[in-house]
Amino acid sequence: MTQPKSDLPQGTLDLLILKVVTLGPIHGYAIAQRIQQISRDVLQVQQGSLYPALHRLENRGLLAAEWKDSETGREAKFYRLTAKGQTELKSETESWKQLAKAVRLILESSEANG
Amino acid sequence: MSWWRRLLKRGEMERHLDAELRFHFDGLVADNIRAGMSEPQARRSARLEFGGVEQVKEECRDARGTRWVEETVQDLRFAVRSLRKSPIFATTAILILALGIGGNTAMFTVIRAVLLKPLGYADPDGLFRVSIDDPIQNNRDIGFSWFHYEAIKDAKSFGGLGTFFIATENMTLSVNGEPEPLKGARISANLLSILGVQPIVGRGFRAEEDVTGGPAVAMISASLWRRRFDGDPNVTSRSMTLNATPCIIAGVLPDGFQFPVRDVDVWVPRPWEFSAIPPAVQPRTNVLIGLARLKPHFTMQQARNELMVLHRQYMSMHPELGDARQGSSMRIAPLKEQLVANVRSMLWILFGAVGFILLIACANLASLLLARSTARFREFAIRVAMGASRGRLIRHLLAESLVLGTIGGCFGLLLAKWLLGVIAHATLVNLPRSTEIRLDPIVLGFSAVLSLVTIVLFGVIPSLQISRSVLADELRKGSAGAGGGASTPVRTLPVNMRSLLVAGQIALSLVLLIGAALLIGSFARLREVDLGFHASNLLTMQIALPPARYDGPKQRAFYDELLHRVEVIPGVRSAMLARTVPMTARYSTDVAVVEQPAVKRGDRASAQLQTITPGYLRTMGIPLRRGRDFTEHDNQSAPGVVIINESFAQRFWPSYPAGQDPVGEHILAGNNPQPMEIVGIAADVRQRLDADVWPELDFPLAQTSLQTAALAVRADSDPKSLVNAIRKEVLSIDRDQTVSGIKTMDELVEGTLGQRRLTMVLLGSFAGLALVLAVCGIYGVTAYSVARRTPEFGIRSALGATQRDILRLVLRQGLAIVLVGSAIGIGAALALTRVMKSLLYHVSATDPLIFAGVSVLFGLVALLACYLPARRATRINPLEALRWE
Repeated sequence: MTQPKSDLPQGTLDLLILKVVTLGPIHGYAIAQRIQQISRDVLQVQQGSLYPALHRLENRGLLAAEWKDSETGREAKFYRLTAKGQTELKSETESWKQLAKAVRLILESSEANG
Repeated sequence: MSWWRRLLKRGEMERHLDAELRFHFDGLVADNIRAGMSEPQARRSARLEFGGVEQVKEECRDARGTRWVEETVQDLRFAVRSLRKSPIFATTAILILALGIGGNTAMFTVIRAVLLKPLGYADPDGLFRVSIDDPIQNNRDIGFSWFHYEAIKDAKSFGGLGTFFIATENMTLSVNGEPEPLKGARISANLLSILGVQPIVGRGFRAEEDVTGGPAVAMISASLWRRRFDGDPNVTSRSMTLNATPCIIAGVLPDGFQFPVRDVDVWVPRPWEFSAIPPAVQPRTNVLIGLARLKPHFTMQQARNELMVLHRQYMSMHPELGDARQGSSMRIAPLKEQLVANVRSMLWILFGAVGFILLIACANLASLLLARSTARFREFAIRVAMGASRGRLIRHLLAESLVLGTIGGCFGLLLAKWLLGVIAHATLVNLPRSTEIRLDPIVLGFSAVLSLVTIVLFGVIPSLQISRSVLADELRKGSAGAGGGASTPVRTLPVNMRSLLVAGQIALSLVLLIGAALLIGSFARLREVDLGFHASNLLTMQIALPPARYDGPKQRAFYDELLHRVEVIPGVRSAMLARTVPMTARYSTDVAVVEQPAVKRGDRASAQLQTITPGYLRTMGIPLRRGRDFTEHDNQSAPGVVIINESFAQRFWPSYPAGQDPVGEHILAGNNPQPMEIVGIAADVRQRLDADVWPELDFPLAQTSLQTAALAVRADSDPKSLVNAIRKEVLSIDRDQTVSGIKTMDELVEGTLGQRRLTMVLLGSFAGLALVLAVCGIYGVTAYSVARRTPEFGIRSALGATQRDILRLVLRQGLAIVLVGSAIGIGAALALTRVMKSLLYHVSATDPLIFAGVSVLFGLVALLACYLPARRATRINPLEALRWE
């Protein structure tokens, strides 16, 4: 349980959620687990940020939600990506990639200089 | 989900949020069990991982974006709850607010209707009133004659120049044989088109109806049309009898048309044909006022210049006429200005006064809220400690102000509605355009804005103050590393603030009190004015004999018969007929003394013209100074005689009562070439309480003709009880003859004082209200400071301070506030009372006695307000006081 936790930069969580939701309707608990699994336990999403983020995305119309039965048979709130969410995901991914590239460039150049 | 749905479906949102989080929690627990934990262990671990559910929920709620609405609703609810917990505070605050807002809304409504709104005519700014100024005779804004009108009516500066009879006339209307007295006006045929008013039925007057000998034709008001003609659209084909003459109805004027004054029901053409004047002299009598529409691109100055040129030509053509006197000039002024000239300063002064009241109310409320907030200091501190932000605290206090403001505003509106009803029905005051006074959206907007401004003034300041001091205090007590925080004694700030507010209230209310005292002083002086006659138990009424039925001899027969019949009615002591009674209208003529050097017609002095029966002096209670009264022998066959008043005697015999005796000398008046002998001198009588006495000339009724007469009856007791008996006598002589304007002389006197009385009563009540508020303020701030300094006083008295020492200590503080406030107030009053000059009578606007008296009285009251809490301070038991902290 003492995994090294990484704090997510502002806005990154939204991007991760949108990405995870592209795979099909999914409930909040599963989103948290999926992020943790895919990142090989590096990223651990706190419920305290996950749910406000989900609700924010839903209110912005990027996600749609409906209540239906989960794998355990209990009703859960399933989120899916809206068309608007898809566009958002695309542009956010693009800008994230650019940012990552720029950061890497800087880091590498300073390593070379150092 | 839309924003609105999120706001409205709050319950559902909460249930879903709860279920979603529970699902997650249960998922964690299940996973933990699957990983091999026991159930209690799994739950504990899940709870640890999950963190604070409520915090998550709060953040999700924030994400909805409906938060501020919910919080505002919460704040308002909380405000209502906390106000209900202190009903005395809430009631006081709402009452103060309602008074302030109600008074202001009412005054604003009146001012808007009377002074600000454009007149209800087409292009009202182009309308001007034209009249004559005759400074040498001390006459301003007087009428001109028909001859004069003919001379100026084609002035090129005007698109049209019409004219109307200066006053209204009592006319008798008969439809199907039922006579009814009405207010009638005489207007030139072109007047309606100049005003831009269209009749709603029929047509306006034609030019050929506006010449001497033209047909009997009239226009009627919409209300008369509905009342007497059932709103018949074919009313123009019906006939009525006006002043005993069959008359054509030309058309009906629209509702709200009130020209030249309100409540006119009949308009007739030929404005110079005033029935009280013999037809021969009508065209040369100065009873007309001009109404002109300026041509586009012409200025008032250009028009005045042109009128002056025409006036000078007229003066050289008709030097003998009264409107062509040497030194006279034309006056032209915007119609609206002229219409409201009499009430303008009164209304603005009253508006200023209610503005003061509002400021005082705000200051009072602010200190009330400050006191309340200070008392709730602990509550606020706890809430800050619980995590409330400063913003939230301010919002909270603002919510309270908003609730108070809204309720106060609503009550204020009700008060305004009531006040307007009172003002609109104040029959003693002839307020122009009063039918236009109503609460409309703009007025509602005004009072809403006023309420908001008030809320800001009295709500924001204290809440900023208190929140700052709460936080500063919190800072001092709490986080040690905050670098000392605010070290200024912020907690004492509200006290200084309150002192300042109270000083302001004192200053404002002192201004109002001095203003009111000046008016009261003027009124008292007016009340002391000797009328020159006995006003009590005197009944007056008007009788207008239609010229069609009554010529000279018939008139005199009617009057004789009437007086004989009225004098024997039980309860009547004496009766008389006259052209006018004091406090009503006034007629003038030019006069010369035969025995003195001749003066040109245009340069003669003018005197008030009166026509009386022998009972006049006796009935009015006017003493005869010299000579004799008229008798029944002063009739058509006897030589012409007159009685003059003492002012007349002094005007022509400056050494009167010494020197040459006026009695026995002879007088020339107006166009009459026959000299008349002065047979008596009567004491002066005032025509208005606040106007100087004019030289007066009385003719015997039996030697003149009089179409409209005033009947006055001196009664043994209540004069109103005689009305029916007198009316019956009139009807028994002529069953078509009406009487109108039935009033006691007391009512007439009051009528001339009506506007002054209203101003005085209103300003006086405002000042009284201000005084109460200010005194409460002084009392409050002193009592508050005494309560706060209880431990201090305890220590002082434990250390040997006497009761007198403590009393002096408290009084000194209160007195300082009173002195500062009074000084500012007196200074402001010195600057401001000047605007009241026109409302004052024989009292200077800076009357030192009134200023000093009011200030001293006010100081005494203020001192008393300080003394009561101060005395409580002296009774503090040192032991208890020390234990108190």
